[in-house]
Amino acid sequence: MKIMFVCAGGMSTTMTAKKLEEVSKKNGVEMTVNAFGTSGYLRQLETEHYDVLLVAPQIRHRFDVIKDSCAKFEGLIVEKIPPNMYAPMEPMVKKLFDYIMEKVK
Amino acid sequence: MMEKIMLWLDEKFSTPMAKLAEQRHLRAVRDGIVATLPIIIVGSFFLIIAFPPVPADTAIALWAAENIVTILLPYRLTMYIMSLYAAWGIGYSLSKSYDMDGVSGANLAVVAFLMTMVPKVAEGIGWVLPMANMGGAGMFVAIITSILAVELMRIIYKSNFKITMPEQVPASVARSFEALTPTAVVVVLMTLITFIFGFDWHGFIAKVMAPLVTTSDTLFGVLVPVILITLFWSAGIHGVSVVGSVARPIWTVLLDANTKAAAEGIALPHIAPEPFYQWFIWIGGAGSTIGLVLLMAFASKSVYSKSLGRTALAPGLFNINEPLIFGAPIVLNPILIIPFILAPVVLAIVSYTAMALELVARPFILAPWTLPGPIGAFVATGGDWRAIVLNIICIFIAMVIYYPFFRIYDNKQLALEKEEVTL
Repeated sequence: MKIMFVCAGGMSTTMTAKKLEEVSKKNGVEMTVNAFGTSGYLRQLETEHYDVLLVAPQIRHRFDVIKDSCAKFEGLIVEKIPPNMYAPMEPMVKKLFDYIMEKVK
Repeated sequence: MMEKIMLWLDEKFSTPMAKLAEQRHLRAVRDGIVATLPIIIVGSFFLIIAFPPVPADTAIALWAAENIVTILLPYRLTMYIMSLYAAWGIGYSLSKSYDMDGVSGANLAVVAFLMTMVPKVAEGIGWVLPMANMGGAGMFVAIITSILAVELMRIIYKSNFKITMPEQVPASVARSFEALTPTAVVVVLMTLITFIFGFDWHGFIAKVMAPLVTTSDTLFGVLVPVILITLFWSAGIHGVSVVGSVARPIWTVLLDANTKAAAEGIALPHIAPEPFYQWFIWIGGAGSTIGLVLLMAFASKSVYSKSLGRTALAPGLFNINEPLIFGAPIVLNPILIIPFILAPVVLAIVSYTAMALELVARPFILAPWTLPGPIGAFVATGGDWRAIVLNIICIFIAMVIYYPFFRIYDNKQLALEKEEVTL
C-alpha cells in the first residue's frame, strides 16, 4: 500500500512516515509512506500512484482545498490525520495504523 | 473552565481563523511570495560575501571592499528586485486557483506591475527602468496590480468577450490568442493610470502602508504575531503559515529595507523582519520549544517524556517541533500551552530590547530556517558573534520558563506510568 503524507514543508512529517512504515511491517502490512509539502504533492501524484493521502493536522484548515485538488485521481482516499495520532512515537503511530486500515477497508 | 477555554481555542478561534487565511487571494499572495524565498535566500547570501564577518584589515575583507559592486550584482538581480518575481508568482497562483492558464496570468501580472514604473532614457545606455521599486518596497504594489490583472482576465473570460480559435488550432496557440483581450485591457488601463494621469503608484501605496509597516517594527507589532502564532499552534494549526499569509508581505518590506541599508553600509533601520522571529524567538520551532525539548531529553523521570525528548531533540535542533507539539502533546494541553505562549513573549521582549539598545546587530539576511539556532542567528545578522550569545541566552531563558510546567507534566506522566504497572 502506498501512502502519502502532506504537511507544510514535507519535513516534519518524514519522521512519522518512517515510524508508520516500521509499525506496519510489525503488523504484517507492507506500507510505503512518503511525505511531501503542499507545494509538491500534486506533481508527485501525477507521476506516481498512491492509495491513500493523509493531510497533517497542522494544515487541516487546507484540507478542503487539498481534497478538491485530488478529485481527478480516481480511487485515491483523502483523509486527515487526527492530531492525537501524529507524532513519531510508537503508541500514537499504532493508532494511526489502525485508523488507516479502517479507512481502506 | 480550562476545558471551556481549550474548546473555544479549537472551535471558535483557530479553525475558523485559519480557514479565513485560505481565502483565495491571500493564498495566492502567500504562495507567490513563498515561491520567491529561494531567490531571496540565495541573493542575500552575496551580502555575506560582500561584508565577510572578519576584521576589516584581513585580505578577504580588503578584497571584498575593493570588488563590492561586482560581488553585489547577483543580489541586485535577485533579492533587490524580488517584487518582480513575486508578481509573477502571485499572478500564476491566482489564475491557477481560478482554473485559468497559469503562465498567461503570471505574465499579465508582470505586465501590470512593470507598468506602474516609468522607463527613462539614460545618456549612453538607452532605455532604463529604475530598479528601486521592484524590490521589497514595491511589494504591496506588486500584490495589488497582480490581483487586478488576474481579476480583469477572469471577468473578461467569464463574459465570453474573448477571441476563440477553431478547434483545429493547437491548445497552446489558442491559449495565447485567448489572452489577447485581457492583455489589451490591462495595458490600456495601466497606460491611462500611470502614463496619462501620472498616478504615482509607489509613492501613494507607500504612504498608505507606512503606519502598518512602522507599527510592525515596534515591540507591540512583534508581540501581536507572536501571540497569534502560538495560539494557532496551541490548537495544532501551523501558525506561521496562517499568520504569515497576512504578515509576510510586511516582513519582506522590513527585510528589504535592512538589506538595502547593509549593502550601502549604513545603519539598519528595522529590528523585526522575519529572521528576527526565526532566530531570536522561534528557537527550536514555534513556541521556543528548544527549552522544553532539552528538559525532556535530559531531566525527565518518566519514560514517555524522556523517550519523546530524545526523539524530538534532533529535529528540534533544526527548528522542527511537530513531534513535540503533537507528541507531548502541547496541543490543547492547558499546562504546556502557558509556557508555549509565555516563553516566546519573553524572548521577544529580551531580544527586541537587546537590538534596540544596539547590544546585538539587527538581522538582514534570510538564512534557511532549518539551521540550528546559534548558527542561524550568526548568519542572519551578517556574522555578529553577539547574536550567538543572545541566541544562547534565549535558549536558557526558555528552559527556565518551561521548567515548572515541565515538572508538572513529567510528574503526571510518571504517575500514569506507575498506575499502569500496578494494574
